Formats: sequence, C-alpha cells, structure tokens
Amino acid sequence: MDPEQELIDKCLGNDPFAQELLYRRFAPKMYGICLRYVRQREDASDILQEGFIRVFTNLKAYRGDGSFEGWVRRIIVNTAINHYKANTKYSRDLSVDEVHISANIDNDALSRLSTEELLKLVQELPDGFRMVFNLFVIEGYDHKEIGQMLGVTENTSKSQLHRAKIALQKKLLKEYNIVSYERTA
Amino acid sequence: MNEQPDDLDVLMRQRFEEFQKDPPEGTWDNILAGLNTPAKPAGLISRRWIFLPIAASVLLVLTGVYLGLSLYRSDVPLTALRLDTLNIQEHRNVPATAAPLKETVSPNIPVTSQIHPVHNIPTPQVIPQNAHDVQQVTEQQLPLPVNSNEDFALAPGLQNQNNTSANLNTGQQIAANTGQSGRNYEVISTMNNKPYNELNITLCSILTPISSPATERLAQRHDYTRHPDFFVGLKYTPAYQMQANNNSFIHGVALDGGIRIRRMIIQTGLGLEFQKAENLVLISYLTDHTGYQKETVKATTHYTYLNLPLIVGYQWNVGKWALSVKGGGIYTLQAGIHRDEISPSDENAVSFQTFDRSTPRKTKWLNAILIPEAEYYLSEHFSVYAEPSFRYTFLNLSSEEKTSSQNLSALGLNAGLKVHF
Repeated sequence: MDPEQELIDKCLGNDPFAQELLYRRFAPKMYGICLRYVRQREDASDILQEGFIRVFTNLKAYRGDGSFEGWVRRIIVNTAINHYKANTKYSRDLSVDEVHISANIDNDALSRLSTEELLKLVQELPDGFRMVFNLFVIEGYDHKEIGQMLGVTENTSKSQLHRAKIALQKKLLKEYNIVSYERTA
Repeated sequence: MNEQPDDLDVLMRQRFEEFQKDPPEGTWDNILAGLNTPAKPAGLISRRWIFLPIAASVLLVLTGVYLGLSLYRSDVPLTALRLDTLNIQEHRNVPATAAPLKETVSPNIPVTSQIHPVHNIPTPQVIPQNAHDVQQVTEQQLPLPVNSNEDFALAPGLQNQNNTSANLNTGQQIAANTGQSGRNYEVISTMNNKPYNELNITLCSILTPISSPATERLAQRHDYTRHPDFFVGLKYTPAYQMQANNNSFIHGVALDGGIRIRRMIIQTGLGLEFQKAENLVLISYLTDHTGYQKETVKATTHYTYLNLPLIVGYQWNVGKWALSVKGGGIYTLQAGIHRDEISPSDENAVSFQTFDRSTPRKTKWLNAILIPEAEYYLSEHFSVYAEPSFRYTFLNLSSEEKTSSQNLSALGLNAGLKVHF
C-alpha cells in the first residue's frame, strides 16, 4: 500500500501518532502558505491550527482523486479566506483603476531578493490586496473564482490585483530601488 | 489592465511554490487539543445560549433588589439587639385592656390569642433542647427576680460574650398578656455565639465571555491573555454554617461579572444569601400558679444578606491550566430578618404579643477576601475550577457596634463547572 495512503488510513482510525506524523510532514509547507495570507505570525499559527483540525476532521472526504498535499493546501487556503472574512468588517468595491503604469523592473536585482524579503513585501500589502494577489498569482485562481471565494465582484478582484501589483512595485522602488515607473495614460 | 504574468508574478510563484517554514512550538499540542474537543454546530451555541445566562442574571439582580428592599421595609428589630441597653420595664398588674400594647406589635410577628383556664396551668419546666445547650444557660447567668408573681422586671440577661456575628445576636421581648395579672413572659437573651467556619460549595457556575472572533481563537488556544474579554457568572452557593450552639444551612445565589484584560481580572457582582437559623432563646414568664419560670426554646430565624464584592486579580496560563489569585472587599448588608413565632412550653400561656424595643437598624460589614483559583480547560467550551476563599470581617459598619473586635473569619471552597461561549 502507498505509505501516504497508509498514513491517512491510520489517521482515519484516530491514531494520534499517525496524525502527528502527517502534521510534521506537511506543517512547514502549509505554515509557509499561511504566512503569505496574514501580516502577523500569530494569525498564521491560528490558521495553521484551525486548518489542520479541519484536515483531520474531514479526512473521510478525501477520495484520492488528486494529490493529498493539494487537498490539504486547499483546506489551508480556505481557512485563510475564512479568517480574512471573519476579520474584515466591510469590503470596499473598488473601481478599476484607469491609470496605466508601465513598470520597468530590474530583473537581476529582483532575483537577488530573498524569499523572506519577498514574503515581507506580500505581508505588508493591505488585506484585500494580499488575498487577491495570493489567490491569483500564487494559487492560480481566476478572478471569477476569487470573486466567489471572497464574496466580491470580479471587477473588484481585478482592481485589487492591479492595486496590489502597484503597491508591490512601489515597495520595490522605495526599499530596493529596482523599479522605475512611466505613466502611459 | 494587463493580466499577463509579469516577471514579478513569475518570481513570486517560483519562490513561494516550495517555501517552507517551521511552525511555532506547541502548535501540534493545540491541534491535538482541538481534535479532542467535541465539535459544535457552527454559529448555534453562542447565539442561542448567550442570552440565557444574561437573562437569568438580570432576573437575579431584579429579584435580589426587590427582596432586599421589601425585607428592609418590613424589618423586624431582632437584629443585634443588645439586651444590656434595653430599658427595664416593669409590668405590674397589667390590665386586661392593655390596648397600647397591641399598637406596638410588629406587623411581621404573628399574634396568637388563646384562652386557657387559669386553674389548669401545669407546672412549667425548663426544657433544654440538648445537653450541650443547657451548659450555655446557667442559673448564675440569670439574675432574674423570682420573688414575686406580680412584679416583673426585665433582666439584663446573658451578655453577648463574643458578639461576632450580628445576625445571631438577637433578642426580643415578648410579653404575654392574658388579660390577667401575672401572665407575662419575655425573651431575655439569646445564646452566645462564636466565630464560625463556613463551607461554600458551588454546584454549578456559568461563565460566559462575550464571544468575538478574537476570543474564540484565543479560547481554542487556551490563551486568554492577549485580548480583553467580558464574563458573567451565575452561581448557586449553598453553605453550612457551624457555630457553638447552632448549625444552619445557607442558600446563596451570586452573580459575578467582570473583565479580563491580558492577565488582569476585575470582578464585581451581587450575591444574595438566605439563611434559616435555629437559635436557642432563653425566656422567662410568670404564671398564677407556679410563679416565675424560665426555659430555653428554639427560635427559627430567617436572614437575608446582600453581598457586593469588588475583586481584582491576576491570572497565569500554563497549558490548559489557568491559575489566578484574586483579592478584594465585600460589602455585606443584612437585608432582612424574620423570626418565626416562639412560645413557652407552657400550653396555658395564652395571648402573647411581641413589640419592638429598639429602632430597627441596618447591620452591615466590610469583609476582606482572598481567593486563589485553579481552572482546567476540559475543552474549548468547558472548564472545571476550584477556588478556596478566605474571608475576614474587619469592620462592622453598624451604627451601634463600630468595633474592630467583632471579627469573623470564614473559610469557603467553591468548585464547579464553567461554560465558555
């Protein structure tokens, strides 16, 4: 039997050692995801805990259709979305920014940034921008899906992604001086 | 807007695709604790049940205020009546139409009126309730006149040697007026009272921090130290009071409420206690046939107390344990007293009356209290706790007895279940 499936079966039998083993296997990667979705590490820890509790309590729902890691990842991301919704009193339906800015990025300088530095840039984005940026750029969802997940319109998702990118570019310019702007419209 | 992935998007995706970081220590323990917690139906418990303790608390407060006020209005002057301050009264050939006496009858004391044939009066006997009680009532302590069945003077009676609990220092005069001379009797003293120890056992307690996403997350992690949370608790606190001469049971209900800010606790509330106490009362009376007689009788007295605490504390969290030390003051108010009718064993003593001999007064105390508490979280929503309490009455605020010597110590133990929402 597949070792991963064997581990899952033991977890289904509420074997605490198997559960801890499963947690140890996936926790670092999932915690890395959690860190991208919130600004504070304490909140990332909360999401990780709640997410893994959901993983174990809903383990029966995993049918082996896709990778187990992908299944766990979706639960963690959904938990982060719920956390965002629970802590967002209101969401602004932003209009699409008509200002087009062409950013010239120094790719060599950009590639020299560490992952921790990039994480800090993402974490410092406003909550809504950060959510859309993560879901679109990293997770690969489209705006329609993001709109459904966050309870906003598709246009709002697009707008927030655009603003998120501008905010990131400004940060790169301000802190690392590796971006230059040119207003085109 | 251009939605084609740019260099920044590609870089971000590459970097974060395999990004890993070790989670904080203790995360697994919290997950394991969460897995052992029975799942709650989402959104049901807090919304449905949070109003129950609040409604019960409001009802308790209103009931307490109403009872306190109503008992105050009908207060009977049994409270801490010091017999040595009473005016000595003489009853000489009390006429049959002693109408003024009736006007002084306290409305709370029932007046009985029975006619008994004079020639059938049996010899009254001293009827002690038990051997221990008799030791407290000695002939030497009773400088009562016994030389006349017509002249009757109220004796000072037993002095309260250790006047530690004002609610038990009771005395009253009861005059029996049959319409004939020499048929009077009166209470001359209660028994002495000593400091008591008290055992409080909380059977059930509900503690309800007002729910918020922040407090829910913190509850899950058993960490209440970062955000303020409000709580309200409703307790039933029966107690058993042990004294030298009488033991009594006390029913108590208490409403606690407060705020927890980080590790600091500020707590107040309202407590209401009902006590049914049996005191031994020494009475004396005169009859036509046997002259002056005395005996001890049991008197059942009902007391009501109001407690207003103000307590501050500090809390530590160690895993699933929450340890705290609280201390403060409790203002205790004797809200009401009612004594059941007492009568001598001489069945031929008829038609007696009770009347006030002093102005009713409010008895109140200030208590210092120290409460260490240990609480263990069984799950996110339930915890058990135990808190011994050490109470010391350091100030009697009664107008006539402002003395620091009348101290009262009480040891309590509260234990129960807390429900967190």
